[in-house]
Amino acid sequence: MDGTLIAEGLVKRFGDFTAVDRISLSVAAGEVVGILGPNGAGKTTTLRMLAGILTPTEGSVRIDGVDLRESPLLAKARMGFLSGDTQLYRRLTPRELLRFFGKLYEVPAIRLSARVDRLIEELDMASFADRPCGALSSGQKQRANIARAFLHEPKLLILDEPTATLDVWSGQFIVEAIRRERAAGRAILFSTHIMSEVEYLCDRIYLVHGGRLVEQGKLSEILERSGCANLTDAFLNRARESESGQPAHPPAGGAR
Amino acid sequence: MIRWRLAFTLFQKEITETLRDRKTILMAVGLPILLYPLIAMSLTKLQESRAEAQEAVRSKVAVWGPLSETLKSDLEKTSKLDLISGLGLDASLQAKLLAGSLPPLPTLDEETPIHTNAPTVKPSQVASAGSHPILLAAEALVGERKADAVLLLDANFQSQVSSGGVARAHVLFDSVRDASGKAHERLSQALESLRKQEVARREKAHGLPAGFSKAYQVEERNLAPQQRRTGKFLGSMLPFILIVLSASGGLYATIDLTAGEKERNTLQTLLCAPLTGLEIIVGKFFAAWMIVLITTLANLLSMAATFARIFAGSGGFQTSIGTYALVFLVLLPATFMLTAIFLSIAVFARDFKDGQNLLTPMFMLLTMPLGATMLPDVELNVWTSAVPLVNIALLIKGVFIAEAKPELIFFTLLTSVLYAGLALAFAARVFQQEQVLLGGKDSWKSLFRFSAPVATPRPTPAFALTAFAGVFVTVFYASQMLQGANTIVALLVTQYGFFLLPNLLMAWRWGFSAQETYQLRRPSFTAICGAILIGFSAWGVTAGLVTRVFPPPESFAKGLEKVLLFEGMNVPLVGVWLLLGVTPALCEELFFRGLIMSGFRPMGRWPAWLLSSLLFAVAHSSIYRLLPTFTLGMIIAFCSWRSRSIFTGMIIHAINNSLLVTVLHKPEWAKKWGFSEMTYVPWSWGFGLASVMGLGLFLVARSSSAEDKR
Repeated sequence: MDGTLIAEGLVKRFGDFTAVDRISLSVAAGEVVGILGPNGAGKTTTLRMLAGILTPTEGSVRIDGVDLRESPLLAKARMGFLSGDTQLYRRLTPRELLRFFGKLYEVPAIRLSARVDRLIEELDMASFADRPCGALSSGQKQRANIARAFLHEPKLLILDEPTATLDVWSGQFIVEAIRRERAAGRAILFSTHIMSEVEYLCDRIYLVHGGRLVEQGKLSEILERSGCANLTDAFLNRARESESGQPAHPPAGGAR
Repeated sequence: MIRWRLAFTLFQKEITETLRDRKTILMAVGLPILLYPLIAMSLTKLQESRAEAQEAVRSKVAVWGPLSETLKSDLEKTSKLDLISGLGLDASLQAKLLAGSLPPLPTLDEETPIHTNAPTVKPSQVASAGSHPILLAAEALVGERKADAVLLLDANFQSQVSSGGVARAHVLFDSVRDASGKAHERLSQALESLRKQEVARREKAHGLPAGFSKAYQVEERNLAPQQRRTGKFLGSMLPFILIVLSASGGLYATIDLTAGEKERNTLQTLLCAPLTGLEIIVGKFFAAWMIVLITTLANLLSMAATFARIFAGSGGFQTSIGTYALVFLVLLPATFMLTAIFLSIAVFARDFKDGQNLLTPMFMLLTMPLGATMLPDVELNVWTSAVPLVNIALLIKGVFIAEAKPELIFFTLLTSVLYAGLALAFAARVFQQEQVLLGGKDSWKSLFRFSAPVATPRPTPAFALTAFAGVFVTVFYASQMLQGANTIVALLVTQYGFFLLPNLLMAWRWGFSAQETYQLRRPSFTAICGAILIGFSAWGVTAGLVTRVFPPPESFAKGLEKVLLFEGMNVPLVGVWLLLGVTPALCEELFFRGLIMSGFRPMGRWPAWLLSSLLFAVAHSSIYRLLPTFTLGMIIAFCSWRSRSIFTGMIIHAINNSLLVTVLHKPEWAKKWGFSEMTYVPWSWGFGLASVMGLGLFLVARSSSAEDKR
């Protein structure tokens, strides 16, 4: 395997419960990879291990060639993480927040102000950049959050359902921002429940169920293998197969 | 207009939801029920025992001036006084005093002028205390604790007594020191008694009417300047207030920085940033500590301004800015430690309310011992300087009365910085537990979670704590009610009614497996042999070596002896063994090493041994028995655990108790065995018995290995 993110044989156990069972995946530079699965499938746990928030029970993670376990600080500095439920410090303004995280990521002071100003402009945050985050709408907060994740220009972006709590307009804004980052050559691992986003954004897809990887490949390959007309049906089919251990038949006449 | 029906509906929903939160109930009802008996028991007993101890100690009084043998024996006979002539007075000063060539003592201030007609002049301020050589010498002597007070007799004291004149004496004491105050009280009473006798004698001899003669004039001089006296008053309560108020500033901050971040979902942005756990905790810690320091500073400034205003007119209290600055410096390690502890506990909480529920009892637990520092005569010494927080409170007390010794200040600050460092290291370690940070469950959580003990086949740590609290409170109140009752009845009711019965009822009610909970297994032959050896030798360690380190006052030992002797009732020795040996072994072991230790079992062996032994010690309701009973508890806990049998513990407990009460009930045997001459267990005996106990422990530990192999 090669790529900006390489994870091999990831396992996470909480006592007797195995939340993630031998998941391996990779994301190359300039690639958006989707990770799909129902609630409780182990997506968030996997992403948290990749982001260095949780320590894997087994397995390894390399970010831009740096082993996360051996050099966690170096690896974390090359990655930006964002989840849908991540909130902001209510009493700080987005500008203060970005400056704070810029210092944590050791962005040189001479570049930090310019970088913050550029992000505020790119993500259309000028109107609320100096208001406390607690007073912002969900869409505005998520833009500030995206800015936080992009701030230090990481090689890898890990996005856990970044549009889950947003309206269509705000969601689309985030999706476009992700496309721009791909164009800039970043590796992006992206989890979502919204199939249309996956179809629109992702170059490759991993399907996770019951803590295991049950399918992977390009969208066209997955559809071909499943015999389904759309990703939703393909996804449900693989989930049923995984539960029953028997191959499931594709629904007849499924529309894509 | 309020629609009351709807308001009531809302009230019903809120109260139902609130009452279903068991932690809220525990805080609102459980904690106060447990807290007051605990405070009352610890502080009252401490105060009583200290007062008794003070009463039992004789006062050492230096007498300067012509002390006749008659006066000495009369005074010593009247009260618990040891008079030492010329103590602490150099020869030249003594010669001048006897020659009457010293200048008269400066007059007392105008607040309480000398009433020459009155036989006794009440204590007052010392005017120009620093200038008179006698007062300087007395201050030094009492200040260095070489004497509790000084009785200064005028050069012509004896001749005045013989000639029927007025003999003048001065009692010099330091009201800030309790021992000195006691000496003053005794000396005044003794002199007053002698004065009355002398007056009666003179009046009778000369046929004078009552009240005609004065005989002695005693002037009482307080060597403590006004500043120290006010300092004593302030120093008794201010440390408690200062520490509690300063720390309370950190409660909200630490919860907000930890549980608050979890609740607001902002923590993971930090966790995925290139930061170590230590960097995060240190950053948060200093933020919380800064808030605590601001609170401390605000308290001190407000206090200084208030006192400056209150005492402005009196001209007495002159605590300098330097004193407040010193108090602030002394509070640094205390607030550092409290903040670190709060932070490490608050991080377990999943949300703000959870944080409050965890920290409030912890806050009370930490600050409760500070109450003891308000008691008179509890002061900074080698022992108290090592007790966390209490040492700081006592040091502040010492600063206010200008009595803090440099070596004790150093030791107090050293131990406090050490505790503070340990607390921060612990907080850092907790912060590296990912499950704690992400609000997951682990063994620590179970200690603080007070969930319903339903449908669990074995007790949990929370259940064990709750069961102990219930039994402890019941025993506390019941023992008050049983105070007038027959000692044997009280003992039986307490042991069977309050330890055994609720214990069995709880196990039955919650369906715990009796065999697993109480470890009802026959111990191996090796374990029984080990237990017998320990039973016969453990007293050498618990009652012997430990009481050498922390000797209880004589009055306490006598009180305990009286109870163990059933207040003089004639009980055959077998009955004594059954009542004081077998009964506690059965009832207390089933409770502490049964239900309670089983509850702590999921936390691992060391926490289970330590916590069950600590509760066992606390249940014995005496600060002086705390360490011996804790030590015995640890020995028994180890043996019960390793042998997997409660009976091993019962054997040790029964033999240990029976042996000790036999010595009391059969003094002739004690004499034969050589116990009656012992003040302490000799070191040779102590180490010999400790070796026997070590052999017993080895056998019990070995029995476990043999069991494992099988």
